[in-house]
Amino acid sequence: MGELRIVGLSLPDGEPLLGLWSAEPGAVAFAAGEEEPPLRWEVAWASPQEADRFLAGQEAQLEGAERALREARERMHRLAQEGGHVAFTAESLDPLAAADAELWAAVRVASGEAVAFEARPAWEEGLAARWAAFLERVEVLLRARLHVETREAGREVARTVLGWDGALHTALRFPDDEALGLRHRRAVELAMRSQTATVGLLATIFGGAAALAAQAAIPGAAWKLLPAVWKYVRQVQAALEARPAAEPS
Amino acid sequence: MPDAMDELMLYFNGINGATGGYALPPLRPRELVQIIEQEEPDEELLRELELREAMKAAFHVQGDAEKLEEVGWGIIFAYDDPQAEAIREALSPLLALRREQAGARYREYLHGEGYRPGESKNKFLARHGAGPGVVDPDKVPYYLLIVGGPEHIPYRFQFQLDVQYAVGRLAFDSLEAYAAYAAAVVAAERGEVRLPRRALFFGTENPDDPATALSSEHLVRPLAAAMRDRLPDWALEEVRGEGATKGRLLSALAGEPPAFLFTASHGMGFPNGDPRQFPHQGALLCQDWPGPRRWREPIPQEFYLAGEDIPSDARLAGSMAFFFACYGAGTPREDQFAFRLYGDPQRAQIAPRPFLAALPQRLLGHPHGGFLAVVGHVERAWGYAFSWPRAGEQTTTFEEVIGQVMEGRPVGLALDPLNGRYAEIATDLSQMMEDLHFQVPVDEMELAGLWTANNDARAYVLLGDPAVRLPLADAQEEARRPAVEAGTMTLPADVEGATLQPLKAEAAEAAMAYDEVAYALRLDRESLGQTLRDFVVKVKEALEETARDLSSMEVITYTADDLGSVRYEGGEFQGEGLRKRAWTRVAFDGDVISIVPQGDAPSRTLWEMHLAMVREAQRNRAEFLQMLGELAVNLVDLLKLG
Repeated sequence: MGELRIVGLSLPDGEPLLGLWSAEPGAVAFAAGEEEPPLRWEVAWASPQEADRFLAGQEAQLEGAERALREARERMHRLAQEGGHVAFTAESLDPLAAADAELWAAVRVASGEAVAFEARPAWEEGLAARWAAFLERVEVLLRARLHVETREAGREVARTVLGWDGALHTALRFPDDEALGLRHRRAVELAMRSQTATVGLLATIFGGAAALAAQAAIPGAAWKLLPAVWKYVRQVQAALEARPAAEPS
Repeated sequence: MPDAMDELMLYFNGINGATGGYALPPLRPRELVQIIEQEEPDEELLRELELREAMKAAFHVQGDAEKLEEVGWGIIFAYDDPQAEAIREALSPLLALRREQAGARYREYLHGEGYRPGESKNKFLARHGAGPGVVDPDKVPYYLLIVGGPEHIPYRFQFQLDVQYAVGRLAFDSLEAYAAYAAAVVAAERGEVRLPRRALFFGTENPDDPATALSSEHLVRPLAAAMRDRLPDWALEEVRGEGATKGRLLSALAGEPPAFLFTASHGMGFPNGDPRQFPHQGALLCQDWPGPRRWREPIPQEFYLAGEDIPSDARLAGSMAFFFACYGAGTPREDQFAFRLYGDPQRAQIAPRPFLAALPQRLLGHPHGGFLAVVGHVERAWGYAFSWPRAGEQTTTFEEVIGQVMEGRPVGLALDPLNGRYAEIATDLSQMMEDLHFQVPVDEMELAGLWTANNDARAYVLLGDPAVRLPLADAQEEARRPAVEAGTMTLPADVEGATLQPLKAEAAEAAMAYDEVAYALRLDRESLGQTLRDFVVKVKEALEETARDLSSMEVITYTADDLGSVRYEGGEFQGEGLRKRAWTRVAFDGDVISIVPQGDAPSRTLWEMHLAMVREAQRNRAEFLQMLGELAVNLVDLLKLG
């Protein structure tokens, strides 16, 4: 029906960014005069009739991702304050509680305390490497200027470039098509909000790791918690996505 | 100005608006020579002047100087002017016209190519492959328009460059004025403005004032007579003495202004920092002033014509003016003459910063299309320009300059005789100062005269595009002077409920984040993982880049028939069939300006889409910077823990 993808980027595990944007590495050629490797945020739909529903769905998905970040942030700070007093079990049926337990286990191990439960250590094989890869990719993503292309029925109908200095340049194929203009604006807004949410994702991970490390008194190794926190945030996102829409989060 | 007929005392031009008296006391020639002896010559400029003087028989540019395609046209921005991009955009109709006319010899000196702080003319030219001497327009064009105030590109650079090139300057306080000026030039050159051949020669003769008596009798009168002989098809009006009031001058400008206006009068001067200095310095003191004996108190605005007196509904498009008056074009920060006179650096500073006079700025940047060019003086104007000791009246150079302007030659080219005269005087002065240095007896009066004349001659400057010509109607042609609209509109601060905010809060946010991360990097913990260390460095760089240009934000909307051929290069879209339809800039202080092209204005649908993008850009920028700040703070917290 429609597609959101970032052309010129690869993501570890092939997971869509924020659950929305698929990545397509290596499809962009360097153009003369470009100061940096271009990344294209492509928003495509098959027809105007489908576009509204598609865009509304993606906007809801993005709102969910933003909500999940807020939830993860609050839970980590609560965990940092109350960690030792929280009753949990790794086998909990509640995926959020299970994620809390796994994260707290990682904190305990990092602080040198004995592991007395069955949660697997957060630095399980490959996680740290995948986290490092993710960080590198996100850094590429944030440093490139935002270049958004809107495609309808297979043809490009509008393009917007957002520079680091805040400059916003838009080229339109059909300037008097008000509805199409509105759809492109929604596509641009989706991309811009996604970029901001990606920064928010990192802020949440760094803030959560710092809060947990400070409370658990594990100076000197706080940054080692980052892979575990990254995993935790993804778990929270997945858990919230899986919840029925009516359930309060 | 000095009374050249008086061998005993030298009188200086300039009226202090705060006291009503002369700005400087009269001097004996011997006193002035003592000042001159302290002079340190500008060797680089002197060599250029000597070269110019040596080759005065041959014209100093390769090609026909009346044809832009042969001698080229260029625009120079200051490297450190944060508004350069926005000004370039506001001038874009003019730039498009000059690009079309000059072809391969069109140049824009912007960003790294622009004028760099402290650069001399020779250094600037050398960076662009040109040296002193005959102008090679394939390297640097002959016509050069400096853009920006003297705080960014100093007067000295303009004086130096003007010796060989045809140089003008534009500097306004608002982008609207730049856009209005560009629209007026384009309208004139496209034939939309055609003026009748009318000129006004205006000279005051204030009571008990030898300076204006001299300029009226020995400059205005002979100039007007010479132009009547030279240009019999012009209707030429001469207003001198009693009739030369502010009311008369204002009615000439507010009614049907002459195509060419020449004035000779005192220019207003004010003490350093006086609140009237920026708006009124260089304003034209008219016959309303009763003279120095009868008026010994601050001079009211009723006596002089200032920029703010020009009504906003005036129809000025296409005209040109020459103001013979102190500070008529601008004021430097330091007055070297006073410094040498009093030996006191405090007294040398005459303004908080160098600036252009408001009257020519108002005339050039008038909202309904203004003057195309104004020639005037930076600093004090002196009588040596037209009256030479023991030789009397000398108006040939002025006659030649004004005659050429009125005949419709490009104004920068028409001013060349002034530069030739400067080269001649400077070369003679150099030789006489060398004699003085080796204690060869010199004629003090002659030396004083040469030195003063040299300072005077170099400081005539052109404000406006040097390639403009008077748009004159032919004999059978109907004259026309429409109100020229620049297609510029200023948006209300609140557009459809969405407030366009100043960028101050965002700038503070980014600056704070940058400081935080920079601090974290100083921690430089070896224990940090390499990936994280690299990431922190990159975040710092990103913040640095973001914080670099928070002075403004621009939104541009284009249309294109084929987006496949459109590419983003050099900070803008480029490609065949691409049309820029709307441009908006939101400044640090909240000022918002939008420009749409003349004759290609966007439809309502497109305009609303553009405005929506402006709001979207603002909202996004605020949220993004806020999140970036949060990231930086959290990162620092983490790094502090190790």
